[in-house]
Amino acid sequence: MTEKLLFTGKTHNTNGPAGGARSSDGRLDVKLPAPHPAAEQLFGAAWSACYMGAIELAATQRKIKLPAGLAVDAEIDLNLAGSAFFLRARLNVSVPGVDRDQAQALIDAAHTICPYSKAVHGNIDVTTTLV
Amino acid sequence: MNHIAKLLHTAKTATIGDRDNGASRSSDGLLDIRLSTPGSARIGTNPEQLFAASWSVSFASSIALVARERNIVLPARVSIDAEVDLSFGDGGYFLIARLNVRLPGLEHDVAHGLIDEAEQLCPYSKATRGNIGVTVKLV
Repeated sequence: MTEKLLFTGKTHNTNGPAGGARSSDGRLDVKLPAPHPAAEQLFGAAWSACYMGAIELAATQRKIKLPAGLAVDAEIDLNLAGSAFFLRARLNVSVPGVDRDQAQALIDAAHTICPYSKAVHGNIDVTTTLV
Repeated sequence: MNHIAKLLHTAKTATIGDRDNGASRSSDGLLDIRLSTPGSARIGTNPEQLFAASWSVSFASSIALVARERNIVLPARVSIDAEVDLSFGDGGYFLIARLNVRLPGLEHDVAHGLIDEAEQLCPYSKATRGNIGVTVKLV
């Protein structure tokens, strides 16, 4: 398989009251005093941003012109069953200015493109809703 | 799953734009970031950095939980250096992750036991299991 590394995101993460996460380029620098739903917020933001890129790519492949105003509201649940933690995700996607059937096809196709959707496929419940 | 699941919390984020020019904000306002293409002039982070931070935070909590259950006192400076690769291959875009964990002052076997168990506990390790390449290393 021919592979090309496009990018590596590097972060240094520390624990405790002064804990936080900082990327090697300093562009991500968040304080994470525990306990805080930081992990789920960060994951929601990561996935949403990449997923929107995938929607754009799906649109380009289908020669559909996307108007501005694409938005994803993500909700990531952290659940506990017995002593097992697990995630659940809801992505509420707004694709304004595109026919509803077309928009649905785009958000479905995007899950097969987005590397975050692929990374969690089959392992967590994901509900994607066109809003 | 034979236990009744309990929702601990829901994180809500609103994201506009995409990984090259977007912005994302959590409902509590504590996360408020801009996104940009790595290496571009625009100031901003990107999904891979966010995911690296997300996974690390959760993995560190998992280590802390396992340590508590085993009555192991963790050193003050637990740290995780995470790297998330975005790559493109025959199957399209894919991720690879490396978590380099530092547990200074702990005996090697004890530290290894902690990170092995944390890998079973961490919901992000579970969410990605079998789907992406993951290396967790004690450094």
